[in-house]
Amino acid sequence: MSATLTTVAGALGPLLDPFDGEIMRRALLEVLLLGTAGGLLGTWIVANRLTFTGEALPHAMFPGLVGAALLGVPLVVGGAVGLLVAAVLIALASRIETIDRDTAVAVVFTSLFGLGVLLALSPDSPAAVRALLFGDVLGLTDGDLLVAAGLTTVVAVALWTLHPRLTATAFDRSAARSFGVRPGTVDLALVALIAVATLVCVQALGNLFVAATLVGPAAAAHALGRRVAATMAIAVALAVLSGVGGLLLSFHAGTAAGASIALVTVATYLVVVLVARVPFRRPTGHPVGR
Amino acid sequence: MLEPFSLPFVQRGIAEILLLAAGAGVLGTWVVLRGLSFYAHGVAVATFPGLVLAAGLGFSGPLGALACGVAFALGVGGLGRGRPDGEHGTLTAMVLVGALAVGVILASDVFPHEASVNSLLFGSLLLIDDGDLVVAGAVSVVVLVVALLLGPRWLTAGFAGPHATALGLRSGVPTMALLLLVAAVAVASLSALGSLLAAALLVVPAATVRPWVARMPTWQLATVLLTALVGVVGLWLSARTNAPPGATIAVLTGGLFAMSHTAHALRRRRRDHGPGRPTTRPGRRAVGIGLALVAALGISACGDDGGGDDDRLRVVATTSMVGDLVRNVGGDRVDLHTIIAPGTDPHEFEPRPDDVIATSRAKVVVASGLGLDGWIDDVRRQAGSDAPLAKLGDDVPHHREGGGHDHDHGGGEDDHAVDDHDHAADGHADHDHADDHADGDHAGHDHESGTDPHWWQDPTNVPTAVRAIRDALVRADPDHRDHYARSADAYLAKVGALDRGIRACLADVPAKDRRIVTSHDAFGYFAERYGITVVGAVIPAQTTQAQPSAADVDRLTKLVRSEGVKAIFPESAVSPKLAEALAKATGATADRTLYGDALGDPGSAGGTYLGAMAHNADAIVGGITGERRGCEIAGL
Repeated sequence: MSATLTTVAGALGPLLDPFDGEIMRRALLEVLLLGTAGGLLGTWIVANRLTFTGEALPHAMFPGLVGAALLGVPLVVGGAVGLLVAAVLIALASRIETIDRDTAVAVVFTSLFGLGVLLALSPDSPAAVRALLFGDVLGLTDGDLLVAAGLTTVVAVALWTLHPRLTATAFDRSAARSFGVRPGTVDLALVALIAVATLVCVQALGNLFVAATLVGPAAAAHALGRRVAATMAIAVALAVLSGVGGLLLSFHAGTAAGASIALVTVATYLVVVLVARVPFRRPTGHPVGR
Repeated sequence: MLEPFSLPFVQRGIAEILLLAAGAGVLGTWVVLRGLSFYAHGVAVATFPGLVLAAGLGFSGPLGALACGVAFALGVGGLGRGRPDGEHGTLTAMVLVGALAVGVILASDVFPHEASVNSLLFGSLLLIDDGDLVVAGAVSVVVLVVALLLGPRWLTAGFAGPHATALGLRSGVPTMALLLLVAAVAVASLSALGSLLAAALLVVPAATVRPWVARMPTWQLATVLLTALVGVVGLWLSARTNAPPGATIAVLTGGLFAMSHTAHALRRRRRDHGPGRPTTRPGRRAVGIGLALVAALGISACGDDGGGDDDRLRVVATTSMVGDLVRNVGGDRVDLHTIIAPGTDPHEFEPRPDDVIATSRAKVVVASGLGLDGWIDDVRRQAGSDAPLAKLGDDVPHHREGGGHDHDHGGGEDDHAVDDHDHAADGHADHDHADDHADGDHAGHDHESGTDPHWWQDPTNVPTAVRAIRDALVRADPDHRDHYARSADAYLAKVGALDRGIRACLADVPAKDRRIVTSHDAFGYFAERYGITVVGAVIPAQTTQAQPSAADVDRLTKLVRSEGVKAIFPESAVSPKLAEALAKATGATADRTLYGDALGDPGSAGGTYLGAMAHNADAIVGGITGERRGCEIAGL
């Protein structure tokens, strides 16, 4: 781990020049924000097995975006509303006992994505609305960065506040209930926070790669960390490093920016998991079974 | 009411969905039982790099998708060996994201000139060919046979879950078989629903039926029936409402799922709290609401059928550009259906039922050609159309090499200014072939899509196209020969005025100022005709999944500065954010939008070909002269 860090840090020194342009500096700032939100939240996503939720939510925000475009509301608002509706529906469908949560997620997101496609057929919807799902880390405005900073703060503060409840729920649901924590409410809050983080990620990475930052660094950190706080710190560090690494890869190898970030994140995950030689997460890090 | 079922392309779609239903339904129950929903979604989406490779190297898309699906199954299955099913989530996410990243990099940086891969991500039940039917049938047979053989093993592993290994059950091989089968079904449903909606067929029907059944065989049978039913009803609704069938089926299955579980929950609550009451009422009410929804959709569908009573000549045009030319030649003698709506990127095209119906009735089909709208061949085949097809771009006098998808994309070239001037003579006013030049020539790109398809950006190409339209209309409707000839001549006079006007406007601008950067490279012909240098384009490739690299953006930034480019031009149908960011970083302007692939809305400045070209000329002259000049063209 520390070896990885020093290698990356060593490589960074002579590679600062890519960031002397305005566009790349914005990208760097966005990657920092993204890594913070993704790493912090990812820890709980992985612990609660919400990976599919994280992957599917960006698709589910499509009707919200189209709706906002049709009503002439700012698209961020539409995306946020769409995501929150999706989050509530996922939380509702997850309560159904006969199916597992991933199935519930699949049902909700395919229906919402289909609905978005149908809504987008309206002659009033702007042509490029589908393009909204494809963010670009190199095309960010000051406004985008401000929104990202605000949402990252929301995620951090909410996680701070909810921390005791999240810990209780993640490690023992039935015991949590006896402490007066309602796992259903905590789940809903968590899914809603994933929705918030998704908003940050989509504008930089595009809808396909949100799961990279939300899942990869945290899953790698789980293989290393034992305590929740340490895991979170490692996850944030890995997310930020992967983001910077992806930008450098994109700069030097000339590869697509968002995809490069995702690729470096996945590669980091694989390397960390292999290096840590932990085929299973220890029971202390995560509940196996229930 | 049943009229849609008489349409041949709807019948094909039904055949496809029925063949798929058997395999998808049976496997769907296992997917839900074993908690593999995320995996099923992941394996469908992760076929993206296979589709890109197939398009890039020229082999069949489903083959590439299948290879990717199998690799995904082996990756997740192999890495997740020995872990309980629930642990697949993280692995699935990681392998999925990795596959997508590889796909996007392939599409953006390795095959930037190749055909749009986007359509493959979406898929359409309206464009099913015999190969798709064979694949669907074969996959269903394999699924049924394997499910029969391995079902008991899957069941034990499913219930024992994490304890299966502890109990000494070796679930490795059967589980891997299950993962591979899911991959096969997901790939088979790609051509029908596209990758993002594959789960609608594979997961949702099984989950919908789940609360009402207690035994595995009943569950499977009911799921197969439900899958077939929603498929057929979805296609019917789609044909009635002119909506894309995939999305319609997704919304329909989602609605049925909600109804099913609401009804079940209400019924159970009644049974728990009020034993004396009839138990079916809430269920009936939920079903009633659902039926009302479906009926509302159906009624809203029963709108106009596109007035087919008059004796006007029925013509189908592919793009808004081509449609405008046809309208000008045909006038009120033609009943024109333009497939791609104004302002829509033709690369993101997915045909709708009305398009296929209109094509089946058309007497003349007019396409833009040069690979821009190659899908018209599929649409004509599905429509059973034998109407003559005019591909306008194929015969125009000026062709420009440069990739159907010539977009700025430079691997490692730094000195593009030099590159530019080298190639200006043989028609390369831009930089979009760094890779090709590095390879030495364009040999790899001299097939149809190797020609820049935006021929209309050079007005001197338009007379040939207009005459081709005139001749096609006259052949189909000889009685009105004079009308078509007169309108064509009158229109060509305006096109001549347009060309002279643009030339006059640009003649006043010093040659060194005529440098621009565009969103995606649709303006090579225009630049060539009027002596403008397109220094670069922001978007590197055709598919909207593609992204520019930091190197591209950095190089463009430096070029804009060193070449003194004053204006960057976003395009009407492409998101302007990148162009704006680049402008902000370089001090250039980016506030004038150009019409590239698509015209604007009817009534707007860019609603017609002449209007759009005049608008572009005005915007470009304004942009490069710092708004000191504009371009007014008389006689349009």
